[in-house]
Amino acid sequence: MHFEGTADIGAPRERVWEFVTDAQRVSRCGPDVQRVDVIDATHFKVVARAGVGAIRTTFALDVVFTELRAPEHAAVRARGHAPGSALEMTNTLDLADAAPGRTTLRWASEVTVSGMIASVGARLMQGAADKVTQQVFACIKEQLDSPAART
Amino acid sequence: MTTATPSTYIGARTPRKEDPRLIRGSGVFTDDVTLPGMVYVSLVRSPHAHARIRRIDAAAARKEPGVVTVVTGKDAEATGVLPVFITVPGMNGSKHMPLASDRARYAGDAIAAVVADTHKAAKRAADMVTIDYEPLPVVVDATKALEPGAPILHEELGTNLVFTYPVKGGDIDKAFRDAEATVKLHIVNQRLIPNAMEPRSVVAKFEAGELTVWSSTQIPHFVQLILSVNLGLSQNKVRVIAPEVGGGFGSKLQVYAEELLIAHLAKTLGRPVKWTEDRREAYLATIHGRDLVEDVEVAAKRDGTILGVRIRTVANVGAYLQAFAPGIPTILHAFIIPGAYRIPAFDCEVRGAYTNTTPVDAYRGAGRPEATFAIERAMDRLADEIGMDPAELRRKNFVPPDAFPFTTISGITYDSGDYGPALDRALAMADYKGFEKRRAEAKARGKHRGIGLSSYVEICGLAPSKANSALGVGWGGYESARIRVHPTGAVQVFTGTSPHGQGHETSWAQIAADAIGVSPDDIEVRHGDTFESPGMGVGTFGSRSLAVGGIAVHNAAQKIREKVIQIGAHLLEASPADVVVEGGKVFVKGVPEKAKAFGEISMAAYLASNLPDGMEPGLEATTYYDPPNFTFPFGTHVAEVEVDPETGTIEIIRYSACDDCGRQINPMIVEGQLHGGITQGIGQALYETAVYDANGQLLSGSMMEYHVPTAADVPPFALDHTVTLTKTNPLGVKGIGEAGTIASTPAVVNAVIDALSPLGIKHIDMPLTAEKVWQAIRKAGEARR
Repeated sequence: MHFEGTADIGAPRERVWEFVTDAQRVSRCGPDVQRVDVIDATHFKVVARAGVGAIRTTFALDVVFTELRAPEHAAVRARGHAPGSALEMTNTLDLADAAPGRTTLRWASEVTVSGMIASVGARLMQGAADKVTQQVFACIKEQLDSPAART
Repeated sequence: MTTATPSTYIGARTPRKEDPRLIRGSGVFTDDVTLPGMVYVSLVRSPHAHARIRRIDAAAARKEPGVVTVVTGKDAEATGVLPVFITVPGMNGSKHMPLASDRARYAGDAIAAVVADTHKAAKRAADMVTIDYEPLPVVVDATKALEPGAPILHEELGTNLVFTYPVKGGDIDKAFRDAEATVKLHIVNQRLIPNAMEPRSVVAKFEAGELTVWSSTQIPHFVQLILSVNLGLSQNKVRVIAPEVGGGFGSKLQVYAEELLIAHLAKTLGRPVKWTEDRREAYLATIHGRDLVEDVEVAAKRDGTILGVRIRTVANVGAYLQAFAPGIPTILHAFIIPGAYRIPAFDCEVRGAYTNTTPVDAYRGAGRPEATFAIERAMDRLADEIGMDPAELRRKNFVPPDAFPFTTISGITYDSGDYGPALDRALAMADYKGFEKRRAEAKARGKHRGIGLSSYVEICGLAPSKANSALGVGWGGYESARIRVHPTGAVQVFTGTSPHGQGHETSWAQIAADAIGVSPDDIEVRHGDTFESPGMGVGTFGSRSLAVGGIAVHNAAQKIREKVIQIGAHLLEASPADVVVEGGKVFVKGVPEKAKAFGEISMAAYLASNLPDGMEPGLEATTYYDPPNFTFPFGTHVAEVEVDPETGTIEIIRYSACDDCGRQINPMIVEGQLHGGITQGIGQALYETAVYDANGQLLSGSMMEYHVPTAADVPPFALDHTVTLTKTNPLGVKGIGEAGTIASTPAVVNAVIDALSPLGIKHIDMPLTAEKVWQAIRKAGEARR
C-alpha cells in the first residue's frame, strides 16, 4: 500500500528536522504508542497497538533511519511483528522552505502488512492504514504548530 | 454363487439413521473427545508467504503459566515427512515436514507448536514465540511461477515445475487443418476454499505402548498406516478413529501435518493432546481446491461435428504437494475433458507449479469440475460461433448409446451411458422450447434472461487397483466390509469407508438388509475405527463409497445370505434351492408358516451342533472388493437466470437437472447429495474465490470475505433421473457425491453468458459477482457506442 501527502507546518525547517528525526518525540505521534527505546542515533524500538476495526494487536517494531540528509531528506524503515502478523513500512520525508518560518513536509509511505491483519482485515486495510498515516502527520504538524512545542 | 435378491429396501427413501443424533447435538466429533490430563496445542504459523527462518525464540512462551513445552521443526523431525500418494511421471516432489524449520513457504506454514494445560494458555503463549524472518520474494500465480527468474520455493528442485502431464490421442494437427470453425477460450478456474462445517481436529493419546488418534478425516486407515510407519510403531498398536465427521469435500482426504505432530507429541509427552483449528486457521492451513488456468481450442465442422480439442493447463499446487495433489489436475482432469462427446483428436498438456500459497488438493469433484467447465463452456462458444442451438450441438456430438463400452480419445473406457434421454428430460423440465418467449418477456421488464446447460460425464468409483497402479496411485482402489451376525441375530456391518455426511449407516443397512432378509432397522453400520473395521479400508472420496464400499457390503451380505440359506435348508430339511429368505425368516417357498426365524439360524450357527456336514461354525463374513473399472455417471443440468443490468446481480430463476447414477439405493440421499453439490457449484460460479495479494497474503481470510452460499442463495431444484445400470458392479450403482458440483458451475455460467450475449459479451471469469457483471455490461455498452 502506498500513501503520500504534504503538510504545511508553521515552523522553520531546522526545527521540523529536529523533531522528525528525534525518535522519542516523533514516535509519540504514532498510534497507541506504548513504549520507545532508543538504541542509538539511528535505531530505535517502538511498541504500539495497531489494527483494523475490532482486530487490534500489539506490534513490536524495529525502526531505522536509513537516510538522513539534514535538514531536507530522511528515510525511515520500520519492521515489526505481532502475534500472527508482520508489518514493514518505509517512509520518506522531504522538507522544503515555504513562507518564512514555515516548512512544507512532503511524505510518502509504503506499507506491507502480512498475516492475520492482512488476511482478515483486507477489505478495511487501505482505509485504516491511510487514516493512521494521516493521523501521524497531522500530529507532527500539530506538535510543531502548537506553542507548547516551541519551548 | 450369487443368488438374485429381491429389492425391498434398496431404492426406498429410508430416513437417515444418523440424523436424529446429529440434529439433537448428541453426535461425538473429535473436538468433543476430552481425556484426563489432556494438553492443548496452538500452532505458530508464518505470517510471511515466503521467508527464511533465522531464529525462533520461545523462551518467553516457555515461561508462560500452563505451558508444557514449545516444539519447533528440529525437535519434531521424528514425525517424518508428509506422504504423497500419487506419483506422475517426471514429478518433482517436495519435502514437506509438519513444522517448517528453515523456510516458510506460504502464509500459514506451521513453524512451532505450543503445548499447554489449556487451549487458552497455549494460544496466549503462541503469541509470545518470536520468530526472526528474512522475507523472500514471493510468487502466487502459477503461470508466473514457471517463468524464468521466478522465486524458487524448493531450492533443491531448482524449479517450480512439479510435472508436465500430456494426454494425447488422434491427429490434432489434421483436426485443426480440416476445421471449418474454431473457438478459443481462456479460462481461469479460480481457487476455492473447502469450508467443511466442522473444522479439522486431532486428539491423540499414547498409553501402554498403544497410540489412539481421533481425527476428523475421510481416510482413517491411511492415517493409521502413515502414523505407524512414520512414528515407528507396530501397526497393531496404532488405532485411528474418525468419529462423526462434519463434512470434508476432499479437504480431509489427507494425512495432515497436525495428525503426525499431535500423535508425535502424545507419544513423547505421555499425555493426551488435542488440537482443533479455528476457521481462520482452516482457511490458511487446510487444503484449497481448483486453481487452474486453461487455454482451450476446439476445431469443428460448420455442422457442429467436433474434430478436435486442444488444451493447455497450468495447475497451481500451492507450496507443497499434498497427498493426492498430483492426481487431481492430471488423472481426474485431463482424461475426462472429452466428456460426453465423441472427439476424434485430443491434445492436452497439464503443467503443475509450486507457488507461495496454501497447498491445493481434492475439492468436491476434484479435477472433473474443471474439465467439465472447460469442455462445456467451449461447447457453448462453438454453438455461438456456428449459430447452432447449444443443446443440439451437444446431442450431435454425444457418444451414441450403442457405442458402450466406449473408449474415449483420452484412453479411458466408459462403462455405460445413454446421454440423449437425460438431456431430453432436463430440457423438458426446463421448458427449453418456451425459453425465447420468457427472454422477450424479461427484456420488456428491462432484464437480461438466459438459459444454459451442461451435459457432464464424471469418473467415479475410484478405482481398479491395477488401473490405480498404472496411473501412479500408490495404493489399491478396493474397499472392505465385514458383517458379523451375533448368536442372537443382531447384525453389525463394519465398513472400510468412513463417511463424513454421506449417510452410509443408512444406505449400507439397506444394502445388507436386502441380502440377508432383515430390516435395515435391525442392522447397525459401524465405521471409522481401524480396530473394528477390516484390516484395510481406503476411504470416502471420489464418489467411490457406494460403487466400491457399498459393493463390498453387498458381497459380504451375500456370503451371509448363502450361509443362512444353507443352515435354514438344513434345519427345515429342504433343498437350499427351495428356501426363501424374507422378513427376518427362512422358509420353504410357499410354506411361510413353517419358518425358522433369522435369530434361530444365527443361534444354530454358533451352537454348531446341528449344521450341514463340513460347515464352519459362526456367521461372519469379510470381503474386499476391487472393481474391474471406474464408473461414469452422467446427466444434464439446465439453469435459467435473469441479470439486472442496473446492478449486475444474477438471479437463478429455475434449475432443472436429470442425473443418471445408475441404481439409486436411497433416492432421498441422492437428492440430498445433489442439493448440496449443486449449491456448491453455484458457489463457484457466482460467489466464491480465494484471493491472494502479490505478497502471498490470503485476503479472503474469513467468511466475511468469502461467501459460501446457503439455501437463501439458490432456487428450488427440480430433479429427475434416468437409470442406466453399470455392468461394472452387481448392484449397477455409479455414485452421485460430486455430480451436482460438476454440473452446476458451467450450467449457471453458460446461462449468464447466454443472457448477456445479445450485448456481445462472450465470457466473464468466475465468480460472476455483481460488480464483474456490471463492469462487463458497462464495457460492452461503451464498445457499442
